[in-house]
Amino acid sequence: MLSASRLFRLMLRLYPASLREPFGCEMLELAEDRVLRDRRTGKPGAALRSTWFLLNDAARSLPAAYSSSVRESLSRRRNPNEPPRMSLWERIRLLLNDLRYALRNLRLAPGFALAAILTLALGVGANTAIFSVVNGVLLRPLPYHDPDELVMIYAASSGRGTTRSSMSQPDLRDIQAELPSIEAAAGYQAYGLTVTGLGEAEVVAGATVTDGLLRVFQEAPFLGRDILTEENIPDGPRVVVIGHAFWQERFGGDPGVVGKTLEVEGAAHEIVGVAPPGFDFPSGAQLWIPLRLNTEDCGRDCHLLRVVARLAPGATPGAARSEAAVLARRLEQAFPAENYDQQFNVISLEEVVVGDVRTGLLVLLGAVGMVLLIACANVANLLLARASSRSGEMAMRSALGASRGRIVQQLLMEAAVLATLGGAMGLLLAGFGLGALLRLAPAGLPRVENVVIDANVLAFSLLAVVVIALLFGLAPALRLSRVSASAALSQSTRGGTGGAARDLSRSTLLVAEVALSLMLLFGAGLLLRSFSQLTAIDLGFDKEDVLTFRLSLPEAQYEDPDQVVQFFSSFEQGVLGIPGVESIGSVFGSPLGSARASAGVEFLDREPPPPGQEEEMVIRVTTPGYHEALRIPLLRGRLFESADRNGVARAIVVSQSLVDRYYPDQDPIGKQIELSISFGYDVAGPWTVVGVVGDIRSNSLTSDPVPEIYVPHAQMAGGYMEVVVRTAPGVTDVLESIRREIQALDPNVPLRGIRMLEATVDRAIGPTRFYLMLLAIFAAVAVALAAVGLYGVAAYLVSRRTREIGVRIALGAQRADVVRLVLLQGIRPVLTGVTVGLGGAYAGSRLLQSLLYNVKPGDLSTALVVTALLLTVVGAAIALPARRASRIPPVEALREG
Amino acid sequence: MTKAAAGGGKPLTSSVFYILLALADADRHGLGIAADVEERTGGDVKLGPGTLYNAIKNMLADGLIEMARRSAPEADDPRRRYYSITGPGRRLLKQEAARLDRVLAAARDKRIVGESRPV
Repeated sequence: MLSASRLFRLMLRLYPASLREPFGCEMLELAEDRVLRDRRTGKPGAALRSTWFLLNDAARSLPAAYSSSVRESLSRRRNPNEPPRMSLWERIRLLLNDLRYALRNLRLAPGFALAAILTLALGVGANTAIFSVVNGVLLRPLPYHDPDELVMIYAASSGRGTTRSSMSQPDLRDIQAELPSIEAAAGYQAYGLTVTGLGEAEVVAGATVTDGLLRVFQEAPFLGRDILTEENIPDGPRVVVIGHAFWQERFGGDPGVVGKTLEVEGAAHEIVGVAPPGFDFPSGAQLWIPLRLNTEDCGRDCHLLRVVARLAPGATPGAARSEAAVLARRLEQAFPAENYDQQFNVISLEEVVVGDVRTGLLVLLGAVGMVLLIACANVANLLLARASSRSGEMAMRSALGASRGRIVQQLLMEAAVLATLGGAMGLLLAGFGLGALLRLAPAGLPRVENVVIDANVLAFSLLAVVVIALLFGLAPALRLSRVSASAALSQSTRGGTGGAARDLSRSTLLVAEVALSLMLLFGAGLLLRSFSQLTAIDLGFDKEDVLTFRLSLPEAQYEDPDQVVQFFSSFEQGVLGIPGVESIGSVFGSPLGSARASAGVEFLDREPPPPGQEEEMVIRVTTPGYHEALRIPLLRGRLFESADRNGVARAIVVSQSLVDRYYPDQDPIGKQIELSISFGYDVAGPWTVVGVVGDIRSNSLTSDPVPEIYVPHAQMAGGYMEVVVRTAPGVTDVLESIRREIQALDPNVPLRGIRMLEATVDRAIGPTRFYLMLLAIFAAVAVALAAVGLYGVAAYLVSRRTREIGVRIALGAQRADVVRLVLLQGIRPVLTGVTVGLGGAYAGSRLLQSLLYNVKPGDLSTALVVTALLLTVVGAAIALPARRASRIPPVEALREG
Repeated sequence: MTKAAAGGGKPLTSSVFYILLALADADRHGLGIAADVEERTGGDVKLGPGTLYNAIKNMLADGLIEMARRSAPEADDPRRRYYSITGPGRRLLKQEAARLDRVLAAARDKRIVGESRPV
């Protein structure tokens, strides 16, 4: 009998508290009554019967009890302590109340509000600005129909390590004919084309094209027609398709423009079509003329063309790639000399346009996101600190009947107000900052014109605001709302509800801040080292006080090479007479420029290589003054002279690294080589080495000097040359005189691409400088925020321990002991943060790899330096309150307690 | 109020019906309800503690019964909690009784049960 009622006592525990607590006693009473009455019947097995009855009852009622308790708690959660089904108006009124209350609270704590809003504005502003760039450059689709289907096809050579070389026209024809995955393909060369006869000579961006360029882009001509395949033959008709903008500007949108003539490159071209509005491929082109390539001179080994293509519907770049690989192998077998070691490389157009900057921009976006996280952590810390001073207020509210939900809602409203104000201000900052950012942006940043604050960017900022409000608002709100009323009220006057939990979340925030700051610092440090390596590079030439520009003689008027040579010779003579000009020279293939020619090279005193495997080298065509103008040192022999003319013995000057490679132990002067160029020039040798000059970094800043061959312009004359003019230091006003010089010689020759050589070099380090500058700014902001956060926390800790410290000092503790005490407490999260941060930095730095020069991603010395830097700054931030703590007069401290 | 309390027409569970019935003539405490039900049904229906108090809790929440304002004068133990039927509870009880009456009438028509009342 007793056992049955004891059993029920145990079973009672199985019931939900919502039933057990109010009714447990009565239930037990009822159970005992049952047992008692069963016993009174005196029947055998009474105890068993009551036990069975109670078990039965429990089995039936337990599920019901639980389901009703769950239902209850659900309906309670839906309307916490409020009357059920609050009306919409009611809710809005509450929200407005919260809003008013939040604004009043912030007005009462202007220092806090300002600090929080500025911190957030900085975070949101920087993020919005960087995101606008990412959005404009990377996220917006290219402005073509179905841009995903557009690809570039390059020639490549695994042996030479080239991946994006130009294509020969016969190879292009095979690609057009034989790759099922390619719907249409067109070859082009982008050129500045000289237009004359419409006023002053002008260079217009343009291209020579094979055919079908508009078809590749699925565009139809606005007027007339596109260039036809049959027009792309040697001595074919001279026709031109003009751009829509060019048509508007130069022909006033004349609908009868088709059939008129336009003088391009000195020859009359018939206008056969107008391109659709906005079409300007490649690189802003407004004029398209047929290539008119002579395939007898320029065959499969004549790599001239960039190829853009459209994938067939449903075809993937991968499919095109494997088809192209098969074709390349077949062509290599069929043309072993011309197509030796040649593959085709199919890359999406988008990748070609933005691939170079994607990594850098994404790294910046990640970095600026970290800054925002740190900003959030700081504001959360501020809110936590404020929370301690407000726990009294919250306790009062909750004692007066505010539910936890209401308190959380109100605190979140405060966070939302802070985030919104910070976000709005951040958006303003972004608006101002974006212009500055774009001015800093490296010259080569593609699609920069798309970078604006648009709906995407606004949505991003809005999202950022919501996320950060939740991030920094929710934790303190939940923490604060949990404060029990009685505990807080009794303590509120003494201002400390601290507790381990809050210290934990506080130090977690600090660890995160320190770790993130260290990662940013490390990234900035790596870029700084790259940058200093880049600027310390010995170029091999003197970039100071050199003006460069391009001259392009209209082909039709300068068909005779002697005319070209004569022009440049007279021009250089004339410019030398201008006061302030020290030296002048011209070159085809200037250092760090994009134009260059290459030739097959055969050393006559060596065994000839098998056909198709000749050495290929860049050749630079120069006038006699070139090396002197750039101060490229002459190491042996002589430079070019005006005597190195057409018709006399052919002379070349070679670079030191060519000597190192091919004539290491011999005198190179007098050695002879043969050049082979696939088209255009008569290069029959032999060419004799007459001089050796120093190496220069000609291809790019970061690639090592390679063997180079200089050829005298008089012996390989071309009408397109880059002119370098060295002026006396500080002289800048020679340009007008140079212009007059050209006008006097030939008014139809435009002057373009005017730039200081130093700017060209600068441009090469531009991207690194850009990323470095932004990362350095982000890192500095991050470290400053982290330092402020640490300072605040250390100061808070000291203020909380004033009394304890006073006692210690009164009992004879040395000031140094006190400082150590505070430092140790403050430094713990810092050390954890440094450990985490170093791990993160090491892993994250791999992402930077492509942006680095001569520095390994996980560079140890950089890690040590930035760690030391961070420790110094945050150490100072902690040391300040620690020092103050050591000065606490014991009497005062004790009184305070 | 829930649907059951509003008399949504669903049959009541038997324990709810018996509890309402037990409270129809007097306020009772839990033990009293259990005893009344057992007596009224001739020992056929015995409400166990879990069943009874789960039902009481739900009926309190639904407003069918309430804590009695003061102990009934004849209360045997002033420390015990007494429950009394509310207006809605009484209405629901009447509806259920009427429903059962209709069911019984139908059963009688089909001669499943005989007249039990004296004619």
